[in-house]
Amino acid sequence: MSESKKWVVTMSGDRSLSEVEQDLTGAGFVVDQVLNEIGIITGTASEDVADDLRAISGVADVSPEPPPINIGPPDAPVS
Amino acid sequence: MAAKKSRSKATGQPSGGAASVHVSSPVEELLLAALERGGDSFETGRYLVTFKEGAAEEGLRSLGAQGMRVADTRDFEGQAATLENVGGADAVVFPEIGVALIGGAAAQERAMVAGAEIAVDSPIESIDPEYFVFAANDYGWYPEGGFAQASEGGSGEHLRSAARILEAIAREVYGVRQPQLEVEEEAAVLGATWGLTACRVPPSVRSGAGIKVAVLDTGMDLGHPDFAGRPIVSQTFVGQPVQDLHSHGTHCIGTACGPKAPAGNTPRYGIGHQSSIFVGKVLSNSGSSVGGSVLAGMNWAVANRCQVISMSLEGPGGPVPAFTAAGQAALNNGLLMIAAAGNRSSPTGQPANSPTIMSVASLDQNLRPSSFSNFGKIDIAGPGRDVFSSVPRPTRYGTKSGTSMAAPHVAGCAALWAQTSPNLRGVALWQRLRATARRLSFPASRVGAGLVQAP
Repeated sequence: MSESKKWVVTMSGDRSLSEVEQDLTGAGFVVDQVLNEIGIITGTASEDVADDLRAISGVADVSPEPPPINIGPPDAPVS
Repeated sequence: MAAKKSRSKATGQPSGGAASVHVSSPVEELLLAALERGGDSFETGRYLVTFKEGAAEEGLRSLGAQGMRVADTRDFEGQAATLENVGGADAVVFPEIGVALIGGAAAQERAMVAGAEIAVDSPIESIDPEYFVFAANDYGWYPEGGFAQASEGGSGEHLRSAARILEAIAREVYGVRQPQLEVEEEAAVLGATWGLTACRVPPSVRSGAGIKVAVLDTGMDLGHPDFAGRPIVSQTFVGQPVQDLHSHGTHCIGTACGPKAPAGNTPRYGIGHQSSIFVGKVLSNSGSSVGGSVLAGMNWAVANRCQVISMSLEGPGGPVPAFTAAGQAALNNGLLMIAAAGNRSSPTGQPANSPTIMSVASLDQNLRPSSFSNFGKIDIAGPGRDVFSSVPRPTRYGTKSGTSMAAPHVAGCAALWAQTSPNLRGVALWQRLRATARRLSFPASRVGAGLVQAP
């Protein structure tokens, strides 16, 4: 079984967020944040589970969590 | 039945402050009425009606047809009508410029107030509140190493006398001396930063009042004296207090929302000086996002219906579907996300490269694209080199460069535009910002529609 990673699941808007959340959890996705205003659910799962999530109705996209954004130290020449 | 009648009568009555405002009211009366109305608006209570091009005569007739007593400046020698000598008129028409000034009561009785629906075939182009005008400051930009002294003379005297009038009225109304009136502070303004001047912010009468501006960044110095008394809502998404120990967030908030007249010799550096500030700490004190903190901050800003959401943060890579969805959710709610394009002299990073998020490039003082500024998906440009703004105490002020500084210039101007009309929201606000930008002779892939301009 592949290693667990952080994922960002984007909704298509076709189904209610709570319904999709139930299906995600049922597929083995460990939910971290439910961002209802922007239709996003973040959480943790293996690559295999993430592949399964893409087939769930109401899911538009499943992507790895973007790498951290870093603006640099306070004295950076540009930020 | 009786209750219904009295209610409809009540709604038909203009408010006390506006009712006492006539076209011929002297400025002291207007100021007094403004104080009675409360709040810190600089509206006089009268309205300026702008007629469509060539429709001034028709407009004049339409005011008369509505039962207004209209004074025409052509009836005065040299068209030099002073507003005090038009007697009991409800309106004064200035045909040369296609504008009429209407008393508060006369306007409200006819529902001619700012933001009112205007029929397509009406001779009226727009109805806007009239504002008190105080003598303009000498807006220059100041070279490194210090700020020029304000010239002594007429304009300063006007400001001080206006301040004295306000103080005298305040003493009479409240029975106390109010030493910190805004116009008195304004008398000490020694100009504005090059960025504000380039965006034509100082001449704008708009303040961002009533507009919620979210800045998703490293937080804010909540005790910075320049923001004392401002409405501030804050939330952290990184597990650290909102208090900004980095400086980036305080700097960006300064540009977007800073005061009109900072104390002492500090030039004006802030744009939406009466906007409500929403501080979302999505970057830690070391300047890094934590897990899904940026998405969580976006969700919070949308949940709070912040009309303007400024993000001076950027990561490499192509558009992120979640950011695109967040930008779309904002637009669907009449909100606008604005993001820095990034500083790697390479294609625009995320989240600014999402088609639903406005991407901001940086300009130098000569209005050329900054060497570091990313390119490609660029919607508009703002001042980003050597930007002076607030930083946390005890330093209080500092200069930074980057598209991070350009984005809050656009966000601040967006707040001013949003204040001009409740219809300028989301996509309409985006389009207005682009339509009014100052065109620059560089490709759109470097500067988008050009340099953002205040209304």
